[in-house]
Amino acid sequence: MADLEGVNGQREEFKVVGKPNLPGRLSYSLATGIAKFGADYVFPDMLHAKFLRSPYANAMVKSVDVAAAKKVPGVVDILTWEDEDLINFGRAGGASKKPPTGGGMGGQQSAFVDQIADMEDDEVAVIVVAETEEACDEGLKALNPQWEVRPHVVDILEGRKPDAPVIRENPRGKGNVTVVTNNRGDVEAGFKEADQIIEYDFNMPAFCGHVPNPYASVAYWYHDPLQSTEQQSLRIEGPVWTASGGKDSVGRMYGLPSEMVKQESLFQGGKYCDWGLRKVQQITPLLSRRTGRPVRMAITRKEMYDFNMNQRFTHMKVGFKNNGLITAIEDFSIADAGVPPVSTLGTSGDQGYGPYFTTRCLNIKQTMEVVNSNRGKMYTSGQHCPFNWDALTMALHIIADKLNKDPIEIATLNLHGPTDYTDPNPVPSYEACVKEGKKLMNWNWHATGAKKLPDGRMHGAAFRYQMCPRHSFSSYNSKLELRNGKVHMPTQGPCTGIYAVEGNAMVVAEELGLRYEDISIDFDPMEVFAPVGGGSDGTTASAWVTKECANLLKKQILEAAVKNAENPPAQGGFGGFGGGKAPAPSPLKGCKAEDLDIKDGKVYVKSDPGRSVPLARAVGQAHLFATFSGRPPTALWATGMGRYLDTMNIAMCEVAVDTETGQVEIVRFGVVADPGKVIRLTSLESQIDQVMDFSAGCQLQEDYFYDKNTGVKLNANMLDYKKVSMLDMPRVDKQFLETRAGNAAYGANGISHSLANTHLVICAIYNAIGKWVDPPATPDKVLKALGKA
Amino acid sequence: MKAFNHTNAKTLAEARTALAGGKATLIAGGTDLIGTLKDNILPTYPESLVNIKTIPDLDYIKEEGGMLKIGAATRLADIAANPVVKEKYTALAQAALRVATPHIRDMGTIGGNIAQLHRCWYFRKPENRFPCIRKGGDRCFAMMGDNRYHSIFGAVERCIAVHPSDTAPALIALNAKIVTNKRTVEAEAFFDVKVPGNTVLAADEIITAIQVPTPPAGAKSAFLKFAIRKSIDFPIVNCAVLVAGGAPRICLNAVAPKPYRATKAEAAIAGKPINAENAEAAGAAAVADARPLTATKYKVQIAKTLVKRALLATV
Repeated sequence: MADLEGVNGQREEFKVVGKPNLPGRLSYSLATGIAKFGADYVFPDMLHAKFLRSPYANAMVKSVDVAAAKKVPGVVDILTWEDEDLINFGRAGGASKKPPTGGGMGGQQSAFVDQIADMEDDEVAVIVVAETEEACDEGLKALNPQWEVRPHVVDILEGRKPDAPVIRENPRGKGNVTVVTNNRGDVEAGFKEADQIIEYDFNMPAFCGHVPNPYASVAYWYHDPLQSTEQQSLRIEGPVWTASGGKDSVGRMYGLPSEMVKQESLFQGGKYCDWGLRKVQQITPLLSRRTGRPVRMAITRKEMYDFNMNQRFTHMKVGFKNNGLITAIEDFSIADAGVPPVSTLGTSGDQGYGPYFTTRCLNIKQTMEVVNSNRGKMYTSGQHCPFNWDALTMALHIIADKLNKDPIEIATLNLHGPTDYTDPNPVPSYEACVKEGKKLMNWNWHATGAKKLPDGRMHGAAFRYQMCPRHSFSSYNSKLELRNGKVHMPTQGPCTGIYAVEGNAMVVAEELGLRYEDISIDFDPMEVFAPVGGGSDGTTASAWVTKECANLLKKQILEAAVKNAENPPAQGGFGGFGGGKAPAPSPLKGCKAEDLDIKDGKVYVKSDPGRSVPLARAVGQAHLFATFSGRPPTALWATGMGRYLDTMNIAMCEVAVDTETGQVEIVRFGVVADPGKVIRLTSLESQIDQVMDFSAGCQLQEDYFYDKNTGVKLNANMLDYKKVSMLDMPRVDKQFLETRAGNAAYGANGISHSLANTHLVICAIYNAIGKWVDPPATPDKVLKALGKA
Repeated sequence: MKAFNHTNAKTLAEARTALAGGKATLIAGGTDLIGTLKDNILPTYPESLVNIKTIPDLDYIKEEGGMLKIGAATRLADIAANPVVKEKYTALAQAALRVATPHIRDMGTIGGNIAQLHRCWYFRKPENRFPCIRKGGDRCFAMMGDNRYHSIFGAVERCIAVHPSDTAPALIALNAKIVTNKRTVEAEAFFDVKVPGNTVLAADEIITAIQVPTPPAGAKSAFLKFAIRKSIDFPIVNCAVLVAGGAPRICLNAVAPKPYRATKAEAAIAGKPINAENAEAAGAAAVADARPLTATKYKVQIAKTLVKRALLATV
């Protein structure tokens, strides 16, 4: 058990934590449509605004006819790149000359917005503000923008070539390419040590996140003399929660302290770790300040087809001994840098904590060409599961195929021990997952192309492992309150679809001996506590902090109960006026705080449980607060993912391949996950479903298509971009283990994206037909691999 | 989306008068039309939409006079669920059931399904980004671009976009007729490649009914659709067959700018028992004239397979 530094980390009896189907505090609002997202806010006298967006993949707007646009009925204001407000935008208080970056971004921008569009639909420094969205559109048309169309790169294999047009400045690289490396050991020596060497290509398509609610923002300024008599306060709706705090990061752009920025909406929309603020969410306060009216700006879905996974091409060279033990790994990849601001977590960031570090292999060489392109943007994403993870999964399957062995056997041979790559011991969590996984799937390995189903389709199966992420780089400030006998958990939320707030409330209930429904979750946008910071891993980390806080509150409760038992308030009226009568002695009278505990909503005497008092009566009128600031004890990401193995998970799948049509059906996924300790079971199950949805989509259906001549996207809509439908989702069998080996509350780790995979299905297809097909394995590719197209 | 006027027509004459001005467009289910308006894909935009669902007697399914009669405004969901259609006109019921999604089938009509515009991501790119020949332009952008979903039987009027209807091949296989306010047209002759339409309909012509002759006793029909997704998607290829006596009718769609009657396949299997070998031969014959692009070769294999499997599904 890893939660050794916290209170009750060793708890063995759970009445609330781990229970399924406890309702989400905001589920009713979501299910009934009451929930208001950024796009839903409408204020009186509100204006609308739109950026001029590029119809070209790479272009510079040279001129616009502002005078003509101003004549359009309903147009109120127009900003261009010559406008001082826009030139200086983002330099908070005018003091900072540092250009703003979006929350959680690894990339840099030269300016908030300028005349250059780096991709189709990219915003340039022209904004029309009008009475209606239609008037905005008419105003944009009347501007008659003149564009200088520049060469584009939407094929990164072309863009990396020395003679490719250079699409933007690249001070750290050459042409469009920046090279990053990450090496360990001596890869050449490793290849010499090998009995066999395999080489293969591992390619990944880009994948769209599809935030369900395209972002919108509305803002206005108002006087709040209690905050400031000189500066106006800002009301803004729509900025999503980010690593730097959503509304507050917008407020900082306008030189405002947190107290002067108010946001009411809790609802962020479900998302796949896309925490990046969009320009429309940052600019509305400026437009409101200029016009003196509320201003709303929204993004269409077409304008928000941002990547959740960048395109990458990888050539792998792997050396191994005849028993399957890997001795050398050489990974050369070409990754899409996309359009700034872009997260490096999808490119070079993968190198530091990739899959190879989970193996015993001493010799690893990673070289990545990160290629600037005009394809699209990728905000913070995917960091819990480096998307090159399955480069190793594929190696394990190829080695197994060559040695005619089960890939699980090869994986087990190569996985290093719990502490590092020199540790010869097995990883208990992995061993347990494999054991249960084999039972769950009735795992019966067969050689490539060896099994035909009764309906004539070919059967294939595959396996992969991953590690459950732990999270401890974020600090949390938890606060709990007991008033009128009820426990309150004040929080700013937000609601991001992961039910982190509810998970924390369950921990409070557990620690205080109460029911889940006894904990009042009080949403207050001005509160500090936000149990986010990633997905489930952030939830378990914040739950650790909340657990500590709950125990501080519990201490106060028991002390108050003792005090109340010794000096009970008079009953029946105001004692000082003779109307009261002496209360009956409390069953807790004579006890010390350490003699007491709380169970089933009652404070009781541990040595004599029959002596108990309901919590509300036990504490009387006590009004108690507890706060705790901190983080769980260890940080995996500080040591590097893959170098330390505690809680693991595995996934398996079976496919059926129709060799006449090229259609692949995922018959079922099987998942055995050990998150250490399950906090909120329903969230865990949903997380697995979500990542398997991702996995099915990116391996069978989803990809971006561009017109090579113009560089524009051809399928930025829900018909042509083939997101999986519910009917396309296979059965997902799940089983959860609790080894309590994580670092957060009760030994929990997260699950996050760790089960999201890009090649599990691809490996199963190979097992079925003996051909490697790049994802997405669409019928055209499968038939081509089979020589039928 | 730009504003437009919306009027509820009470009679066909009223709707026809509105169309005659050239600035109105008919709307029934609207599941294709509203998307084209929202994305502003065409160079022109109607001033008004004329709702024909308010015209009496355009929503019915009945058998009379030796044929199945379906009102043009009959919803696809009703056709898919109708027991008579399911039993005797199986291919049509199956085709209607495979259109899009339950929501769209609850809104979309049979008339709209056969009159919908073609699928081509250049043609459908918002804001008329690619003014192609089907919009009065001078070129087919797909020809030199990404055409993986396009025709395997060449171009018509220099357009290689495909007709996407699921019900169209079923109607052609079942030898249906399309009735308008002006005339009655064989289903096979109903489809055309125009700017920007997909039918032979004149500007003021309105589909009023579909007539499907009752197949002879013992006849069987089937429809198969191949798409990336099990729901929502338009077909990569679909296929309908009618096996009645010794003269089967076979029609493919999504393989050409118009539904493709696979006459060579019909000839290959005519008078022969439907078994795996003969069905395979018919499948091969169906694509004998295919001239796929590099990116559409896979559709030939799928079309061949679908013809074979649709024939075997009638056995």
